[in-house]
Amino acid sequence: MGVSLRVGDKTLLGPLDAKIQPGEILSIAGRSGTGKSSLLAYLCGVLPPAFTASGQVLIDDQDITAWPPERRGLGILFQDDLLFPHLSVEGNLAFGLRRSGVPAGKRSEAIAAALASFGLGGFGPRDPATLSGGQRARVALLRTLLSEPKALLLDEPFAHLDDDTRMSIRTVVFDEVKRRQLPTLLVTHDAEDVAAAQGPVIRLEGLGAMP
Amino acid sequence: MKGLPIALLLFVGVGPVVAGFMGTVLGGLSASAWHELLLEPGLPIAALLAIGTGVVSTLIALTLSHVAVAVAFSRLRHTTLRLAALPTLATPHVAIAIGLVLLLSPSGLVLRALSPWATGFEQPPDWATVQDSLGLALTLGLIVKEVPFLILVLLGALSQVPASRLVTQGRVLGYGVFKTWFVAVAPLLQRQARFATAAVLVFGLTNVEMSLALGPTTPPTLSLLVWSWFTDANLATQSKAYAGALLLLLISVAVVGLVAGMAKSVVRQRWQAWATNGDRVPSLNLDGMAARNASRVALGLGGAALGALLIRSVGGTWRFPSVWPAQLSIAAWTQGISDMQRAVTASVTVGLAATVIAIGIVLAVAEALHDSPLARRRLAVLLFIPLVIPQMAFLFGMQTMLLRLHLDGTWCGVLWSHLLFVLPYAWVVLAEARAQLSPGYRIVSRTLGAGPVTTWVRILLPQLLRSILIAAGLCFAVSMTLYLPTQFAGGGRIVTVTTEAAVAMSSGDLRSAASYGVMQALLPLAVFAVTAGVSRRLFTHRQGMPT
Repeated sequence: MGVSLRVGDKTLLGPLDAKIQPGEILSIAGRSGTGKSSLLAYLCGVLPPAFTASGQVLIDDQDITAWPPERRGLGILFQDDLLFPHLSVEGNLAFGLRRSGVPAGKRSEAIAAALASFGLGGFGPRDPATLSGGQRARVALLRTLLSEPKALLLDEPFAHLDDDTRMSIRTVVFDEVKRRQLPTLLVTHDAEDVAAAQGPVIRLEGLGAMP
Repeated sequence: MKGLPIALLLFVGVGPVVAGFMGTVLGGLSASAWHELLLEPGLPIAALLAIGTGVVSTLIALTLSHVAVAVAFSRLRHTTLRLAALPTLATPHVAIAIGLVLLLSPSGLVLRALSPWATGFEQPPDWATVQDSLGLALTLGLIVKEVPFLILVLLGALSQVPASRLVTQGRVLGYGVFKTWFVAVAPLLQRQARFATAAVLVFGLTNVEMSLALGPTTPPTLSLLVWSWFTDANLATQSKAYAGALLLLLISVAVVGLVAGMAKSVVRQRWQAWATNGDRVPSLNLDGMAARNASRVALGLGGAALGALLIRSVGGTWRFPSVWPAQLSIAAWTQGISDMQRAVTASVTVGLAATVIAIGIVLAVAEALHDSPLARRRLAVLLFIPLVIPQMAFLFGMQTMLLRLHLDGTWCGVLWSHLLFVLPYAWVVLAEARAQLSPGYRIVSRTLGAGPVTTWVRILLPQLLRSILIAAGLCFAVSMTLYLPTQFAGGGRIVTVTTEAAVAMSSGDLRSAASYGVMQALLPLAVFAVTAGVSRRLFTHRQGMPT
């Protein structure tokens, strides 16, 4: 059954029905105010109480609709990188890195290796506020990936970057999606993002959805 | 779950105000009480004194504060101004009042400095320089104490206003800094400061602690008159006191309404005519303004009052007209050391407990309401009630409530009465700080696998720590200033440095009053120093932290 969102008795979005394959990027395009971000909030399990929603969210055929956000195994990237300002780059990544897989004594090493693989070798002790926009975006992506998400949600993640950086970050993100075979939902109003995603597209036109 | 902290906040912070207000109304609604009140011989003069000192001091303090902020802005000296305002802000009214008496009274430091070479006085003259019948000393005291408060409120509002761009815009159009500021920026600041202005006005109209030391005596201001009736053991006088508290409330509502109405009509029309007349007067220059020097004098007098307290508290024999005591003596500190210890213990324990409890409750409520701006605004209005109505209007009734709960004269009763005044300040600082954190932090943290508690403790709380420290300093300082609430709830059995300072002042023991005054200033300043020090050492290498 498709997902639909309502505010009061007004339908904001939906019903929307989609299945995303591993490594595929489904783009949802539309102007602001069409309920794109609320859809992501619903998928994460943090929809504000002013909204009501119906429908089901499944990952790997498992119904996660009623699960709390921390159990859903979703990664999300916003247009703000939202690096925690009180933690170092390493601290931010350590918050993302799961406890399973990496033994306690090796966490620092694993984070350093991950940073190096993103061209950020030696950045661990840095204050996030001293990084460039592109560097911050990469740290945010890395933080999400270290939490080993089963699927990725992208909320206009390139909108705040300048033109040159936007292209390179987009390439990094989309390459990781393909490499890790993550089912990915991209919400954007940028036609270039949609073209680069090379996946199916749903266009939202105000209230209701058009296929 | 969400409702629990809100219910607790309403119960602790608003409940006693409502109950107390009803109690006062019930106690004051008797024809005989009003009859007696209106027959009181000095009543009209007492009421006029209250209105005059309250309104004049507020208008002057507001003007001086606006000018001080405008000058500090044009010269990028916010930090200096904030530092200059802090000592007087942190020092309770009673202490500032005692300090001003030490400066301005006929045997005070000002006349000593001028005698005998300029004045020819070998003896203190028989002048009424404080407690004058027009209330000039009281007005001055209120100005000195309220200017720092209003300056800090306006500086706080400045961060919400695009002041630099507005001023640049005005100057490009050919206006000077002064006109640009008062056309484009000051009205925006004043809009945000209207609650604070109302609180200052009502405090000026109804305060007891400053009138005690500086106000006229025959008759005193209305609030002091009502307070003296209340402390009278005679039951008939008590019901007159309840009626008097209601009269204070009526006067406050009427004056605040009148001032607000004037601001909206006459003042606004005049201002609009001035703002739109196209006159680019280059000679209107902030630097030469008398108001600017006056604001410096106001801030300077606050500091001088603190200095006077310190000298007097260690002065031994001290003949007129020597500016410096003939001998220094720590007698004032050692003689009453056990009383002092008792008062300091009560002040510190009540202050710290009120601070911790207020911050805890407000943090919980701010978390529950972080995405409901409307609910936050409504709650703020309720919390601000104790600050914008006369304290006596609900403290009379609240004492009856505490009596029924067997909390009168207890430490807990005093703590509760302090919370009414501490909570709104904790709210002002923390509710907005929490609401300004991006909601994305919570979503990111949760999707990264952290539960709600971990998210709050590890991601949100650290980003609020600096605001918590600011709130802590402010809450403790507010608790320290409270005189009437302590008197009502403590019933003389719980004494703090603030009530002891007032007692010593009334009994004419200036040296002891000065030592309590010094302690009143010292305790909040020590807490400010600690919180500022901790704040500076936190997150030293994290530039992205909210400040």
